[in-house]
Amino acid sequence: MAAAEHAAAASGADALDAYPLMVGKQDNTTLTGNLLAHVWARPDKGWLLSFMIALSGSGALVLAITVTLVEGIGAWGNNIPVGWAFDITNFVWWIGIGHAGTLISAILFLFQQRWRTAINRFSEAMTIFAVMCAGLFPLLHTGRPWFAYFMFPYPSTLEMWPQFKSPLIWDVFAVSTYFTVSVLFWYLGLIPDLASLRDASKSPIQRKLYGIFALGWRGSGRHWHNYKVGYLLLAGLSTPLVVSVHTIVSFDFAVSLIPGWHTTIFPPYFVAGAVFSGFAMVMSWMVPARHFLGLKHVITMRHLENMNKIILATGMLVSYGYLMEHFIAWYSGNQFEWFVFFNRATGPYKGVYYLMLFCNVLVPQLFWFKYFRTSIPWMFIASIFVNIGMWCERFVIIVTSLHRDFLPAAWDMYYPTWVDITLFLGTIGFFSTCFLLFLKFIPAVAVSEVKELNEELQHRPAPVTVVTGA
Amino acid sequence: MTTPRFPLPVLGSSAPVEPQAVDLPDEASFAPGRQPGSDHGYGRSYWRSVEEQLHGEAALPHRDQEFPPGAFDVPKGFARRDFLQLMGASVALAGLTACTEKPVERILAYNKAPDGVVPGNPLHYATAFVQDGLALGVLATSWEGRPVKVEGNPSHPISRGTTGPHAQAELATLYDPFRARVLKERGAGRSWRGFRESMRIRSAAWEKDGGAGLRFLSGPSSSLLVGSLREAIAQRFPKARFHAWSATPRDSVYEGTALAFGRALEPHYVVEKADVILSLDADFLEARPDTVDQNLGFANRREPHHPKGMNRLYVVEPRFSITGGMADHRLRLRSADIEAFTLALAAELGKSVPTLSGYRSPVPLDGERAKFVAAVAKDLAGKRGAALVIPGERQTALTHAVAQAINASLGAIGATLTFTEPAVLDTASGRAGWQALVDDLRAGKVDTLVITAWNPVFTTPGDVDLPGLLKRVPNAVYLGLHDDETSRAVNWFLPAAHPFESWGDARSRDGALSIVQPLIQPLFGGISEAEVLGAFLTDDTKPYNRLKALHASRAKTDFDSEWEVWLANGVVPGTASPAVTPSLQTEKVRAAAAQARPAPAGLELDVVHDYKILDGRYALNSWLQELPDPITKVTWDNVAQFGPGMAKQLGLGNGDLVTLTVSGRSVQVPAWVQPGHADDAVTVSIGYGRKQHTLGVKDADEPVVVGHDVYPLRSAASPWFLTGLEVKKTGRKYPISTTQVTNVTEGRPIALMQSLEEFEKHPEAPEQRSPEKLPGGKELEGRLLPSVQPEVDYSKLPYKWAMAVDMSRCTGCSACVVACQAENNIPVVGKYQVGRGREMQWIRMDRYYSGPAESPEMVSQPMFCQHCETAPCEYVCPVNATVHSDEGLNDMVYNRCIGTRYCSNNCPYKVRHFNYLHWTQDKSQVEKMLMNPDVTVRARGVMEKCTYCVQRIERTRIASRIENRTIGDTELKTACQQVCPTNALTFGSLHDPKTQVSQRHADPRRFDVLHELNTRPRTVYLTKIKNPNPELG
Repeated sequence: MAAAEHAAAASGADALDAYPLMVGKQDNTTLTGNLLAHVWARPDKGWLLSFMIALSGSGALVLAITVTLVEGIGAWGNNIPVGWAFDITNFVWWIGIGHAGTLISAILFLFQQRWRTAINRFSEAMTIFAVMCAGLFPLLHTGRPWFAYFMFPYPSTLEMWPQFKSPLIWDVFAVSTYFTVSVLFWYLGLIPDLASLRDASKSPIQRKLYGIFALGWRGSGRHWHNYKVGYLLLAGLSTPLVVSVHTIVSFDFAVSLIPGWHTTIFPPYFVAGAVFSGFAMVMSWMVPARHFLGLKHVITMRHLENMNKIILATGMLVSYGYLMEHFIAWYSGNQFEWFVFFNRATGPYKGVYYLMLFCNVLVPQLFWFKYFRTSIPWMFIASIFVNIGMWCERFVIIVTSLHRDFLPAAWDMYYPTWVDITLFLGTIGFFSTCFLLFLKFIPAVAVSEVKELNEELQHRPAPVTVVTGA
Repeated sequence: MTTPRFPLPVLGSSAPVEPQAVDLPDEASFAPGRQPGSDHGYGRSYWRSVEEQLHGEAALPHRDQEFPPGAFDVPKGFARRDFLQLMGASVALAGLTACTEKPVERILAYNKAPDGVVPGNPLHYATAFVQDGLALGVLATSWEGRPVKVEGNPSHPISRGTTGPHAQAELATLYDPFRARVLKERGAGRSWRGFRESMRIRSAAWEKDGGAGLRFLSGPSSSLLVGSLREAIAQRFPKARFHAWSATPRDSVYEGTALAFGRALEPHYVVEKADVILSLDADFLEARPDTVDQNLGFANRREPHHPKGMNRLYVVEPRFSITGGMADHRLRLRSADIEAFTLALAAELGKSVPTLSGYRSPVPLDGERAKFVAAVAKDLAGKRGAALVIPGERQTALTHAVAQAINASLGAIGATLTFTEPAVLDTASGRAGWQALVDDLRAGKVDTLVITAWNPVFTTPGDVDLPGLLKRVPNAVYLGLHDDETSRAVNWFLPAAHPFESWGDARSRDGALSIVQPLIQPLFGGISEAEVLGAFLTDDTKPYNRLKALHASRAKTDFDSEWEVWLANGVVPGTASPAVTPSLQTEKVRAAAAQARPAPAGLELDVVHDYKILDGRYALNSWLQELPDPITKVTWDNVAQFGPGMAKQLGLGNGDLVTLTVSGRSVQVPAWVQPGHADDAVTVSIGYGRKQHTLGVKDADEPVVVGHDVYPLRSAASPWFLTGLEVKKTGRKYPISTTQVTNVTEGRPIALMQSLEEFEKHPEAPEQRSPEKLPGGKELEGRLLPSVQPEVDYSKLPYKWAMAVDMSRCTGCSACVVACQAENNIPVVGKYQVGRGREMQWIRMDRYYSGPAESPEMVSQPMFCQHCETAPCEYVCPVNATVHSDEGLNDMVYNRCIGTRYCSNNCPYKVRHFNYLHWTQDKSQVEKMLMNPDVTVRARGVMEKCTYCVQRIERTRIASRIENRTIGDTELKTACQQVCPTNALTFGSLHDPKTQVSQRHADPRRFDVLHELNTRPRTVYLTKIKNPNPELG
């Protein structure tokens, strides 16, 4: 069995899997050619149109930020008791989305999952842009963002330090570390490809620019050696971050004493949710991107199906989280705790709650079936639902817990304003803008790694079919 | 920002004056208002034309035509006239920091302060707050001549150191930038001298006919100065008449006593001595100048360990009032049926009390009501000498008379009830006094009408067309604080000086005389009522001199030194009216009672004054507008309150706009489902529906209509209730901003209430109360939520500040909310923002109902920062902006706060308030004067909350350190504690077991709200105890 598995894995087409990791016979020239093609191609109408839409979204973001800064948080719908609403919902959602990239690049790298190779560049870029979007909110949500630097432990003449007991301070460190490491990791992986771009450049300006960013990469053995060591180290460094960032984000809630927030299950539950939403977001972008950029031969159904399996697995984890949350709320006998969950299902925000359950619990169940796992339209729709569902989950956790907490006299409702909605949609626009620029200027697939994979696949024995059964 | 909206030229301020859009016809108007302190005698006056000399000013062609077109147009930009205005105003107001009668010294620097003034240290001046003629002694805290806070005067017999919400908010009216500034004749600016001249010219005619066409319409007044002026005018013009008008008259009190005792008397209910109290629609626990003292008396007997035991309160009323919320038993009844109830009670009592025999109810009472009457009668009869029946001002004279007859028969007079002669000059300020004037107006007999009552055009009942009648008056004069409906219907409008800006006097309900001394120079050059009346006399004595002359005879020794003492104490000693012992005219009352007819059936319209804006006179007071109604918790609006049964029957929900029609007049009001409201009555409160500026509200420069005007529904004959109301749904919704959406505790042990019986059975703390047990009785040890906050040893420091709230005493009157707002510079946010849950008041008066919606019990729980020892807000703040002080205060460091709002999210009590917008931006210079300089004005994006009035702690600490001693128990009071009419709040140090707060912390009734969260609040609550009658159980 082990031998068969090994042999099957080496082929790039698992014995148990009908789909290969790479379609067709490729060599270094074809791969370099077709994987860099979308960078050299002139932007087509589709790209320009998408880019215009995304840029308008970014413009809306700038507008919403301006209104927020000029008017104050009062431009949003937040109030007392709902001190956090769309702002932190968006923050947690974006951070969650930022989890797929690092998980794919680092954890799957360490586990030597070869199917990560074609999608890691793509998802890492998404991580970076998602964290950029996420990072906006903690800054913007403060009443006086111009003093947000108080959160950093800088040597102040007032001899004031941040309050290290506050999870918000942990957030500052967690998110900034995560962002830094993600950028480094992504950039390190980019260097060989940037060099390829430099070498394939047709104009001196392109050559100069790519040359600067390629940091003098010549592809020598020494370079490759250092590169591999560095990449492995960063992968090792990123791996705990994947778990820690969302754990710490979940502490924002778990450390408080608000019923619905004060839950020990939050760290694993949040991490699972983050991976869940991150994979869904990667899926939502990858399905169109592989089509339009002509990457179907390297991002195959094998990749898509594997990702759907992860979505199913993390979706089940998230569902288990819901189940346990509700169970413990009942089992604890704590009336406040129980009320919060009862209120989520029956209160004024029950629509969001049921949408969340539908998207996060029911929709992933489709992926038990191979048909849905391998159907492009279905997986695209499902991934969009999961994205929506995970946003709803954060909204449910944050708003429904706050709006009816301990003292009924203080209860109130939260309704978003146009600024709230524009800010959210604007971050999607900004994310899309960054992503489209990324697709335009940088190879969407790690070319050097794919070439390496191709070498591996071609220098291994042919696949062995394992016949099972009687 | 550009120009402030209401620039007040202040020393050192270079803000330009906004051009006033008024015509400036003559030279005298260049000085806005008067020259403060200057004499108004300008020597002889010259007539301008032969016509004027012969026929008076009215004969002149309209003044506008005298000058070429455009001569009165205000020049654009900063023109010469504006410059002169600014100069004039600057010079005129340079002496702002002095009082009116001090010589104006035109100096620029405050380098020679008046005696006793230390810059940065406030002084306190005694004066009086007057409402409907009744005075409440107050002390005003004044910073360098600028009053910023009103407190009760402890030496005043009614106040005893406390006030109600209106007195607290009065300063917001004083510093209202929308107050009228310009004296006008038919819309054109005139001078005070011009007005006097005009009246002088007219007085020649009045002297001939005795002033037959001269009428005065004032609010009810107890001022002896006003009384003496009226006498003087009456002497000069014997046929002139004085009428009084109030939209909230107390006529039935006097008519009732007149019927019962043969003359109008002022009843004083000694609530503290009463064991059993029956309120007949009497809201005697609303903290107004006539009832503040009753609050404390009542509350003292709500403690179960009072030596004389707890009192028992029965309330019969149509709507759910503050008093109804404190009732042990409450019967909801239409107002019209209360007379019959009273007679039935008299009849029931008549069975055992001979003097009450012969009464009978015009209609027999059905089951529940009969049972109630029987139980109340038995209870009252069993407590002879300690029973008390209080009839409400909205009730009929007969109800009052019969109630007093019951009181007399139960031995209440002299024990729980005393009488004095009325302190007010106008005992008929309702229909009786008013009808004669209306008749004269209709008959065209009135040539000059001088109105000093508050805005009668607005407050007139719907069946009197006062604006139409005023058109027939050739010379109508109105003195008012604001340019309002009445000012537009008269030809002379005089901007009034606020009572805190002028000299006067007033008497409290028991007759005690207070000198009303000005706290500040008239901000806008206003005129006082005494000055207006003085304009009808030949001598031009200033009110201050008149006042001194009037009271000169009261001095026993040296007038001048005694005068100083009176001013300092706020009460003139020995002026309280002696109690009289009237004899009941038993037969007359009985005969009147026999005439009682059954009330017509049908839906009843109940008109009540508003808890916040009264009859509308505080409609522009944004503190009161934003104050949540003590019962409904509605802000910035009035609502039509429906009983739950009627609302269900009509399919009404909160905010459904309904058309109320009575006697052919209709208005639209949003509906409100009020638990405990009578189903066959609808209650609306007056005073709303005026187009007005909403002061202090951000982005509210445009005047808007606030609430709905229900005066048109009122009838002059029956101002308080009318049967035959028709209700029609409009199908439209109206947004209502309320601060409390959920009215029940959801079964949570938060606001605890127990019956006296239960409490006596288990005087030991039940599980919810014990800080050591969890709800359900499980041992708390080791089960508390762990806290990341370190244990602190508080024993090292001299003080351990704490608070205790006795919910048995708290009526929910919300005076504390306003007091806190005044003390702590709390901004107003406006209706829209309140609706979005952004109100800023640091005290949230939580109100919960329990029991059936038809007859709920109410509990009020003031909720403010609990100053938890292990405060959940502190450990989540990322920047150390909320930290614990050594003495146990949870401090907010505004400068450090970056506004993450995490502290508020993690506060289980949700008592933190966030500056979502820059509420304090764009404040006019006048509004800024309202700010307490001891308290930071918070900026946008900063969290704030109750500080235990840390500024007061520190001031007291400074004083005590100078004397090298510790702060005494009664020395230091928080703003909410100081104002509380029922002494429900106590504050002090827990280190001394003898302090009031320590004793309350040790009380078996003590409980900590949400103690199972291990927050260890320093503010604790004492269970509300009720004393129900087992027979009604």
